[in-house]
Amino acid sequence: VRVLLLAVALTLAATEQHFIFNNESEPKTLDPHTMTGIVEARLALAQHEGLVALHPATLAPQPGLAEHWTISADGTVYTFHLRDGLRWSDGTPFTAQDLRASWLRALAPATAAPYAELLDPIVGAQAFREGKGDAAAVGISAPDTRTVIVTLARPCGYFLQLCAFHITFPVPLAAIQAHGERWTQPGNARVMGPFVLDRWLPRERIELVPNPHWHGRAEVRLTRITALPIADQDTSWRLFQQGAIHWMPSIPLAKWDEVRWHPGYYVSPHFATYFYRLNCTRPPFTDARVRRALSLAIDREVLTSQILRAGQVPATWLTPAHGDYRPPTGLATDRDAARRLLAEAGYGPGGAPLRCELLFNTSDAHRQIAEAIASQWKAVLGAEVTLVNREWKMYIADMDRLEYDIARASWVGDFLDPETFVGMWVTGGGNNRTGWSHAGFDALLNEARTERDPARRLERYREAERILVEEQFPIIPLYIYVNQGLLADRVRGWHENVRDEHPFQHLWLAE
Amino acid sequence: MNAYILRRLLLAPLVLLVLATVAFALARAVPGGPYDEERALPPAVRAAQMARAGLDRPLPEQWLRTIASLATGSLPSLKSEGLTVAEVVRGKLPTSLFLGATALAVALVAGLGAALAGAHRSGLVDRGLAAGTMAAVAIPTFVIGPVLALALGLWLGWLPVAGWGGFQHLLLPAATLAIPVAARIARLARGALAETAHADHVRTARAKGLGDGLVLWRHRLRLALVPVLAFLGPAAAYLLTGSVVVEQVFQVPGLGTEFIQSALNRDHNLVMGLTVLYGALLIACNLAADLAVAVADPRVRLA
Repeated sequence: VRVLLLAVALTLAATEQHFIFNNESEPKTLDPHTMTGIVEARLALAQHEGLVALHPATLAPQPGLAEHWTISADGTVYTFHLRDGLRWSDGTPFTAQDLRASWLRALAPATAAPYAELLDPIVGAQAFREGKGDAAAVGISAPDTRTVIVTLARPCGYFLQLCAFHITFPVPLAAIQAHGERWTQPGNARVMGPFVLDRWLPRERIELVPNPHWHGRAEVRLTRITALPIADQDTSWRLFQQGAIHWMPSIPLAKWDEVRWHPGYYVSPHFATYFYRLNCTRPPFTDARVRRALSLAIDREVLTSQILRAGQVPATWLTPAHGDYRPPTGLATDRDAARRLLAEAGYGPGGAPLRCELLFNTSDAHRQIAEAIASQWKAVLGAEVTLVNREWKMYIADMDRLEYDIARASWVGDFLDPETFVGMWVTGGGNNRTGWSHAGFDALLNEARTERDPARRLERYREAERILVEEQFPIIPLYIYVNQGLLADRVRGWHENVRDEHPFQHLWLAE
Repeated sequence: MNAYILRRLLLAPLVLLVLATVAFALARAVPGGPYDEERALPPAVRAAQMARAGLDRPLPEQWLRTIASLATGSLPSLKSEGLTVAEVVRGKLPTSLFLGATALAVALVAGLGAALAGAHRSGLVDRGLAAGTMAAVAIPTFVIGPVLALALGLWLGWLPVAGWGGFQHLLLPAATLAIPVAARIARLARGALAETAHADHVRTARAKGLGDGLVLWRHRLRLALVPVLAFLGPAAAYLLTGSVVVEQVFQVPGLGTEFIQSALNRDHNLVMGLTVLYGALLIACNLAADLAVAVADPRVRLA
C-alpha cells in the first residue's frame, strides 16, 4: 500500500510543476539589502527583480523592471525607463519613486547593508552611506513615475551588473515601516519578483508561489518552489536518489566516485577561486621574495588531479577568465627560482629555516590541500609548516585581526567583472586581510575604476592583477573552482553559467 | 518527601541563573562574533549591527539586560530575522518533544521487553540479546541512521529517507534514536534482574510458593527498574531536546540543530536560552526520576 501511495504521490508530483531543491542552509535573512550569501541570493532571485536582469546563460544584462535604458556619452548618466503597468505582488502600482526610495534605503546608515558600498560610484552615495551627506544629494532621481535617472560620480563599467544585484532590488518601504525586521515574513512581504513567499518554516522549508502581478507571469511555468535547508550532503544525496528533490547545487565530496556516474551529475566552471593569503605584516612574509618563492614552489597540478579531481583548473592567477577579460598568466612552477629567491631573502638551506603556520577552517579538503602544499614546501624549500585547523568563526576572526602567517581563502565573484576579484586588494580594503599595501596597484585600480573605454578598462585591471600574481604575491592563487551538482532529468529551461545561478522563472518540469 | 521536592524546586531558579551566567560568559569568551563573516563588513556597518544587538554595551549591562529579557521571554535571537529566542524554541520544541517522546516510549517497551525475555529464557536467547544490545550501544547514531535510511528508504523503498510531516517520516528517526537507548535500558534492566534473583524478598516470595513468572513480574521487575529510572532522567532530557545527528541525517526541524547552529553562528542569546532550557528540562527529569526511584524501591529515602 505504501509503495502504491508513493507511486500516486510521485505521479501527482509529475503533473504538478512543483520544483524542490536543496538550498543547503537556512537563509540568514530574506532582506535583499542586508543579505550576503549564495543561499540568500538564490531566494532573492525568486522574490525580487532589479532594473536589469541577467541572461540565464550568458549573464549579459537584459531588461528587468526597466524595459530599456540609455547611457550618456561620458558614461555617468544612466536613464532607465520602467516597463508599463508594473505592480507589486499585492497589486498596488510600482513607480520610479518606489525604486529611488529603495536605493536610498539600501544606502541609509540605519539599514547597515553590507553591500551598500557597491553603490559608491553614484554621486553622493558614499557620503550619505557614511552618515555625512543628505539623501537629497544622492544622484538618483525619478522625474516621473516611469523614469529613473542615476548620476555617477565616475564611469563604472559594471554598473548594469549592479542593477541586477540584490543590493539594488526594490523593497516595500511601507511594509518595512510597519513590520520592521519582520517585513520579509510571509504575508508582510510585497515584492517585485516572479515569485512570492508562501511559507517560511525556519530550518524546515521555504515555499514560494508565482507572483500573479509579475510582468512576465504568462511565461512562468512552475506553480510552487520548495527550498530545503539540508546541510548534510549525504542526506541530500539520498533524497535526490529517492526523487524527492530536483536539484542539489553541491555534492557529498566523499562520495564523488559514486555520484559522478549518476546521469544527473553536472560539472561546470565556477566564478570562484581558491587561494592562500599571506600575512604581509609578519616577517618573513614582509619580504616579497619569500612570498614569491612560496608560490613558485607549488605544483598545483597535484592538487587538482590527485585531491580534487573534478575538473578544477590549476591557477596562478586570481580572476577566472570571463567575457572579454583575460587574467594574467602568473608564474609557473619553478623550484630552482624558488630556492634562489628564498636564499636571497636569507632563508632556507644556509640561512634561517622558514617556519610558519598554515591556517584553514575545518574541512577534509582544506586539510588535504594544506598537507600537500606543506609537504611541497618542505621538499623544495625545507620549510617547516605547522597546520592550524580552526572552526569557521575563529578562522574568520584570526584572519580579520591578521593573527596568522598563511591562511586558506576563497572568493566567489559577486558580479561578472574583474572588479569583484581585483578591487578587494586595495590598501585597507575590508576583504584585503593581508595587510598588503601597494601604491602602484592602488593607482592602477583607480584608473581601472574610472576608465571609460571598455578595452582599456579591462587592460588596467589586468595590469593591477599582474602586480598581485606576478610581482607582489600577497596571495597565492591555487585553483579555479567548479560547480558540481545534481539535477533531475525532468528539469527543463536550465542554463549552465559560471555563477550557477538559475532564475526560477525559466525552469519547468517535463512529464 | 514534599519538603524534598519543594527544596529542589526552590533551588532550581538559582541553578538556572548560574547556568545562564556561565553560558553568557562562555559565549562571549569564544573568538569570533555573530557578525564576522567571510565577506568582511564595513566597520560602520558592523558597528551598527553590534549596537542594534546591544553588544557594544559594558558586559555587566549586557548581562543584566539579557537575563531580564530572557526571564520575560523577549530576548531576541541575533541571527533569526527578528524572532525572539522564545519564538525559536516554540517553533522547534514541539517537534523534538514529539520525536523524543516517541523514541523514549519505543525504547522503554523494547528495552524492558528484551530484558524480561532474557531473564525468562536464559541461554541462547539471553546471550543473543546480550550481544545484540552490546552492538546497539556501541554503534553510533550517525551510522545507524544512514544505514536505516539506505536499507528501508533507498533499497526497499518503504519509507522516505528524510523529511518531516507525516507518520512515515517519524519512523526512521524515532527508531534511530530509540535503538541505543533501548539497548542501554535492556542491559541495565537485565543486570539488575540478575542481581534480584537472589535477593531476600525474592527468596521469601518463592518460599511462599509463587511461580517464576509472578515473582519476576511482581517482585523482581520493580527493583530492576531502579537503575533504568536513574538512567532515564538525563536520557529523557537529551531525547526531548532533540539530537543533532538524527535531525541532520533525517532533516527533522527540531531543536537539536539549533544548539549547534547557535554556537557556530555565535548567536549568544540563543545559546543562553537553549542552555537554560536544557538545564530546566534536566532538573525536571532528574527530579522525576528520583521520585520514581523512591516509588519503585521502598528502601530509598529522599532527604
